[in-house]
Amino acid sequence: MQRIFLILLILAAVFPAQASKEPKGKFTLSGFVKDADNGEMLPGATIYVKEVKAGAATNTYGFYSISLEPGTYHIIFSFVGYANIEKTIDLNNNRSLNINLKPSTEYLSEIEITGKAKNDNITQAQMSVNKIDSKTIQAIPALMGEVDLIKALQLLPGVKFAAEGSSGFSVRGGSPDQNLVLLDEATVYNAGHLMGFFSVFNNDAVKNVELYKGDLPAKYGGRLSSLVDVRMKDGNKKEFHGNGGIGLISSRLTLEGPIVQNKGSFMVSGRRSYADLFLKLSSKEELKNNILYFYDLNTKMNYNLNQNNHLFISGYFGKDVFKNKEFGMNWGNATGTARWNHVFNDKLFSNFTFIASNFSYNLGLTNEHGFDWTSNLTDYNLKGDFNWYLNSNNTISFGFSSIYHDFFPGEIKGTGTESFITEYGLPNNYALENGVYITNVQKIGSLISLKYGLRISMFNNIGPNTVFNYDSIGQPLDSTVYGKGDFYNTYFGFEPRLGAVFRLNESSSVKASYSRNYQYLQQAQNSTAGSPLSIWFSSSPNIKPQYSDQFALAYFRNFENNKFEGSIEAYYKDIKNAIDFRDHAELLLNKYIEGEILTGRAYGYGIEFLLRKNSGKLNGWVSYTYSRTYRQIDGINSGVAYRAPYDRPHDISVVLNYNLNEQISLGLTWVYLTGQPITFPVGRFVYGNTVVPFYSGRNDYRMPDYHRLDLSVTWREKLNPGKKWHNEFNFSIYNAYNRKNAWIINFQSDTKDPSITYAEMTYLFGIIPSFTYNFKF
Amino acid sequence: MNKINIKTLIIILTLASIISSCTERIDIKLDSDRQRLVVEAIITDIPGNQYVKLTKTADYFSNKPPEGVSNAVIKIKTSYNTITLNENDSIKGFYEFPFEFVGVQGSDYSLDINLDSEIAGQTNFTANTKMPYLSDDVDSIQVVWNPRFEAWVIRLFALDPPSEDYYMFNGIRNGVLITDSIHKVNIANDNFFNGNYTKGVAVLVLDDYELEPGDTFTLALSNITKDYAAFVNEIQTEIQANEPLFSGPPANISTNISNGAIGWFTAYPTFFSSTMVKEKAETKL
Repeated sequence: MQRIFLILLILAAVFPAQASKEPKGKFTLSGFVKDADNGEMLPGATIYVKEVKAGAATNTYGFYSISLEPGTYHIIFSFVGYANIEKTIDLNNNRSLNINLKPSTEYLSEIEITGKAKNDNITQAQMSVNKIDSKTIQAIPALMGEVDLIKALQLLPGVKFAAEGSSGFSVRGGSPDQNLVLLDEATVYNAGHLMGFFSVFNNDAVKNVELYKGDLPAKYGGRLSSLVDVRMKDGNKKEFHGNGGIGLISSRLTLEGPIVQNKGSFMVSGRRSYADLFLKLSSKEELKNNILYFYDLNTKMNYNLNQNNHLFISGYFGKDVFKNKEFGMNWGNATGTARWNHVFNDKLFSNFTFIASNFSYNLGLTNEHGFDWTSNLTDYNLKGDFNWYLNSNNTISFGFSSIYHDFFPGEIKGTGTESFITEYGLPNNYALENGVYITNVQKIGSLISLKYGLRISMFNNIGPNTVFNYDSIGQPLDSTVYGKGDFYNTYFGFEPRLGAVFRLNESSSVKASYSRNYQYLQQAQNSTAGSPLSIWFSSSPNIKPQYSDQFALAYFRNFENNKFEGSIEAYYKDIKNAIDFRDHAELLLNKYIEGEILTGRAYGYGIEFLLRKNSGKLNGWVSYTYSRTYRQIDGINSGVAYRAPYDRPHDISVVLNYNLNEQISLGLTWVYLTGQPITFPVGRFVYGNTVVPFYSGRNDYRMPDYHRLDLSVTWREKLNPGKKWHNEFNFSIYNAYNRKNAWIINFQSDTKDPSITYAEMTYLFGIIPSFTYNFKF
Repeated sequence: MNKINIKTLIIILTLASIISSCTERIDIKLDSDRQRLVVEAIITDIPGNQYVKLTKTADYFSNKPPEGVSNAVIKIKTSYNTITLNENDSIKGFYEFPFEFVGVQGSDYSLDINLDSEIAGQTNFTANTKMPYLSDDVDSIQVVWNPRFEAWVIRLFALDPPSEDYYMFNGIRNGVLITDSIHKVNIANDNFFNGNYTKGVAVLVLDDYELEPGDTFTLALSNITKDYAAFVNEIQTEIQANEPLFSGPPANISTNISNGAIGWFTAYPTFFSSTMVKEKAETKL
């Protein structure tokens, strides 16, 4: 196994030499596609060669490379929301060509799309992927006006929120901890602010987000269900600009501009909430003295050393703080990414990344009985990724990733003079997670395209550590102590990622894919919505890695000259070593946490319908999903399969945005979901004068169905060439028809007569209007 | 402060301050499950304070006291003899020990129940337990008023032994048990102070109305088994309101009774420590 790693590394080193050997008689056209106004790289832009009726797309850094016979070609460069550029190229040597696309005047009229170049959703072998840019996210009515990327993702087919208002989400029935959430390649371990009601992503700093549902590119691994790849804006390379806003919950300010004209730029974006200012107005003394806020800061710098070398440095820092006279709590993520894009030659593009990522929380009492409880997790990650544009029919990607994990699951210490807590801590846990991959996208004729690749992952637990052995009911028996630097446990994962597309005609295709993913880290969390007080724990001698197999089939069809994109995808997913927790598990500050874990099988299937329109006066999407998801784990529900918490068969999302005119646009979102599975009591007994329920099988019942309508209207100041400052007002209504959606249903005893029991429903948000002011300069 | 208190604090403070959540009673139709036997069997080291209570489960919304199970033959086996319990004449399903019977620390006990008619297809039910040793070396207790939470806090000053110990705390006001239901007692392990002096750890929190200055307050400290501690914790968790941020899924309470019966057979010794309740202002937290 070590040899395969080595071979791939050596390949990486010798490729530059190999790659420059041209296949005879062909020349390569390569370069970057950028936004003409601000110099941002445009990932996923399409390059279409009319003469050969084929094309390519830019990679995540906006780089493209295409090999053609010598000749004269008409090439169309295009990107959603941008005006196309058509170039006539005389190709008689290898050429480099950078293209600047102009954003189309989005509110004016229907954008005319020259059909053929715009059907890459039809032609690409990649399936189960959805892409949203920040403008689309901005147009979706938001809770309390707080534009939220994660909430936008939850409206896509196959994605469901974990609980109302939660930043946790389930993709194709998977658990929230099976989503790999990356911000500029750095893992974000907890994507929620304010107990998860708002996500950590400040939309002003975001360029776009791509969601891969199970069928992950071989480049990525470590999670079973999805990849959420969030890219920050690079910053305007040409002019200094800013934008910001004042909302009900928070204020935002983003500044961007060139460091050196056309060569380098920066972007800084900050956000701070002020919910606690409202608390000051409260008449209740105990609320008045609370401090409660979150903030986050996104920064990015990039610099073009020359045509072939490009540096990016980006960082995120966010924190939630809650404090009063005696009690304090905070949690947050910090990530840093340094990237170096290097173009070895017109056929070989590379990117090297170093990432540090941290998630921590802390809570404590500050009085004489004070205590301090901390937990954190730090990752260091080194990656190398290569795109080798072998010829016009084969694009090979390969690379490696190595992550060092340092888990500090928790420690509690007395701090006050009269603290009764002496000290209780869980030892650090170290692990190494490596991966190498190689994948090829191959075109066979004009109708078939294949994507085949393999990722090999390797996971090592590293000492020092004490590993407990457990009996069948999870009680610790004895333990083994491992010394510092001991690689005491190793797992390998072979992860094939296969896909194929067969084009039926210019506007429709059939796709199929199979992917296997391994996951070596999981969250100790058995509540549905999730809280920041959770810890991540790794595979170990006691806990085998989870792995999933997903089979998917799809039919893609575009209508009306590619104005409408339609797709139907069906999948079946099977997860082995799936994790759940023993009844009444204690997951916080528990030395014997591995004894609380049970493993088994999780499986699910579904069919997803999507009709999407990306441009024009009316845009948005309508989706319907039918899906089921179950778990079968010995020791839970008497070993009988039960509905996973995210089993909500019917799921409809309607997301519409209508540009009435240049100034006014209207937004509408409607969601419908089958009620969440829940366990209800089927009887009761009395013990020690207390009425205690006993329950049905796990998740045998359902809450009432969930549905909600959100509306918004945005007014923009008329664009005026002479005026730089630009105002925008947004008014939105969350839950417009005031549906009382159950957040939880509880069964309680009457306080006066405990023998009387009743059911009680808690719902979170009634109708919530909000107002946001945004500006740009 | 144990974990439940930390969680509760976070939930109350954070949710109350940021979310406009509303609660209302709703009608839900629930299914019925077949009836089962419920056993509440307790042996203590205090004379006249041991019993076995047999009842049946009922529909969740049955809204009346549980039905007692009469005419059972109940035997308790100790390491040197076997005794038979007698059903109380006036309380159906309540079986008493001979008055002079007391549990002994470190002893094993077996319970054997034979019913005169089947419940869930069974007539014979058994269980075993062991009475732990009293472990704490108690110095004193303090009753202090906490104005922030508007509650009386009972603080314990004791030396915890190095062993892994589980405690149950009950409160007694002028000879009357305040913690008269199992959800009111406090269960604690010694994770946070194992082998150390407890420095006035809060072991009970009582509402304003539950104590008055001038009262004699008695703390009953019992050493319980790990399993019984888990059982009581489970009950306390299950009757608390759930919420999606912290609560795990509802789950049935464990049992140490055989043949599908619900409940627990437990034995524990108790140490009492008393103090006079002072005026609120005179106490210092």
